[in-house]
Amino acid sequence: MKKLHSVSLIGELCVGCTNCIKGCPTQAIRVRGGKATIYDIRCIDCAQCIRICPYHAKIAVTDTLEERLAAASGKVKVAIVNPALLTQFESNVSRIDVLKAVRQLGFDYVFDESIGYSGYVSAARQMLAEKHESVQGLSDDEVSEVFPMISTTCPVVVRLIQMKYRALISHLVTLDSPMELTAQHAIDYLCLKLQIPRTLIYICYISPCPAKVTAVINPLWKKKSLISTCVGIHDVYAQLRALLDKVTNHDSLTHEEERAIHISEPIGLRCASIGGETSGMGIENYLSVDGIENIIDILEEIDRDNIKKIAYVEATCCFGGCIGGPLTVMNRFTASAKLRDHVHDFFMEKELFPKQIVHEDDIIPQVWELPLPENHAMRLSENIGEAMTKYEQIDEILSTLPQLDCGACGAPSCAAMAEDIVQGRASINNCIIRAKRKKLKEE
Amino acid sequence: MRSFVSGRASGEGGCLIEPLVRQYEIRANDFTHAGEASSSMKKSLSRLGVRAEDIKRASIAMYEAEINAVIHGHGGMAEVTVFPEKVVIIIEDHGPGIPDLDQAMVAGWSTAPDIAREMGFGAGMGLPNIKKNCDELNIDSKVGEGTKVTMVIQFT
Repeated sequence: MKKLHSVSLIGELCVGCTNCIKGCPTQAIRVRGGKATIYDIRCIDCAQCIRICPYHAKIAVTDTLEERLAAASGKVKVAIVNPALLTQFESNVSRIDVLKAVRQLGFDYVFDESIGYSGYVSAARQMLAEKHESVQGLSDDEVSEVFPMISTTCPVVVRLIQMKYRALISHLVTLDSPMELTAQHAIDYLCLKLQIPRTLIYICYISPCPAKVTAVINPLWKKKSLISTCVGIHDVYAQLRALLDKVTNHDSLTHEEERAIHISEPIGLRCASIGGETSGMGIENYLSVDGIENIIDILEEIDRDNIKKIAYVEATCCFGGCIGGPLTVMNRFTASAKLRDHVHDFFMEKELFPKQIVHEDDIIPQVWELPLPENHAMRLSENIGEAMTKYEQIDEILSTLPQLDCGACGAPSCAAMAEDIVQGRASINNCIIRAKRKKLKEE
Repeated sequence: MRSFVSGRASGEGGCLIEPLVRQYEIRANDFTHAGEASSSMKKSLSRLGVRAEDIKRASIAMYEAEINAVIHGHGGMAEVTVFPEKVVIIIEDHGPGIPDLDQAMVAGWSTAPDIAREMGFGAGMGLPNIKKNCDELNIDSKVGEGTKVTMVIQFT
């Protein structure tokens, strides 16, 4: 069966402890038979389990670069790089240096994903203005169906809303993601300017997180991603370090490199950090929130109509934004300082490498190809009558459980266990506390 | 504090599936917990697979009635009965009652005390909002005895 998500378990390393089951914000994990299993349909790729596992048994499944490049021999190999990668190295390493090194991994062309972020920011600002126009004279209720608009740059936020805050789907910004916008720009450039046939273009995304990897293998609002494969930042880090140690010509590009390397203005670059998107949009009345639990709190408030006068919500699952992604290497505070340096260096870049810089107006904004479906993973049954019966059964069983939420049964809470029992996924005999109490009574 | 009680819905019957009944206590002037009953109902409807638009209507209606019980009704009880095709929400208090129901239904008219207004309530849209979001609404009120609001939201 095709896996829906890229978060996965290395069975040999798992000891069956309760850390990941407790840490999962959608209660998608259970320990059964001494090993953790993830319910694919409830996973939103937030990577909390990856971060929390003390035995490093949880990983993001990506492809190995060598394999993928070998399989793509004969094709034109393009790397799209999440801007967080640019912040992972020491102070004297410039943006261009990193991208030169990426190219030396085996790529023909390298595009910084901040190109797509710039395009997204520009288009989102326009959409916001249009939405404001369209709600002039409407009632408060009608306005609150649309505002605040919620950014879709973080796939985790979108999946969370699809599953648990379905009434907020209408608030989502219906633009294709920065990753896809960059890929489209790369394809347009290579096909139209360089006459390279579309079928020969092979695009690899270098990702800070599993969520963006999943957005490629299991796209949200389109049938197929423009991207062919993904690797994680930490997968290529060591190789890049070795290549960067050998860089001598910091302030120049060969003729080939000039054609091959593409970056953006700082607007997109700043999006690697939380707050970058809304500051790039130049708007007021926004919220910017990082961390999955904080995002859940804010979505609850929006769902209850408690957030008034906010036009836009920027949200990243990872603290700090993409620079805090689970597949990054540098700690996010140093990375944030490095990001500031890169932004300051832009004027020097503009002088040295003017042809490499793609302006945000050159990105053609793409909207969603398909509407976003609701995810009914939280529903007890497709049939409401059956769901009602199960709901009652869950409450009955829950009243017989210890209410300690200890996790020993493999479920994160007694309520989750009660549901598992009713849905036939577990037996009440798995409750160790209950069994122990019964035994003590009998003695 | 809420209490959950399972039981037969008052006066309703005849369907093959047992309706789901839950009761919630609403405490007078308790602004910290005001809205928890409607929030809880919202989560339940979501687990049952009710459509997002219907959940929204039901939770707005129940929320407004719940807040009325907190601010005006000296607290009360909420009873939510879920059928496969609709939800019936009854909020009952033994507060002062509504002297002039027609006036109370006028948008913008409010008798909310200062403390409620300071918390952001008292815009006078409560009853009109309830009416807008229900398929059936019945308000039974007697001065000096209390108010019973019965709301029906059909599932689409």
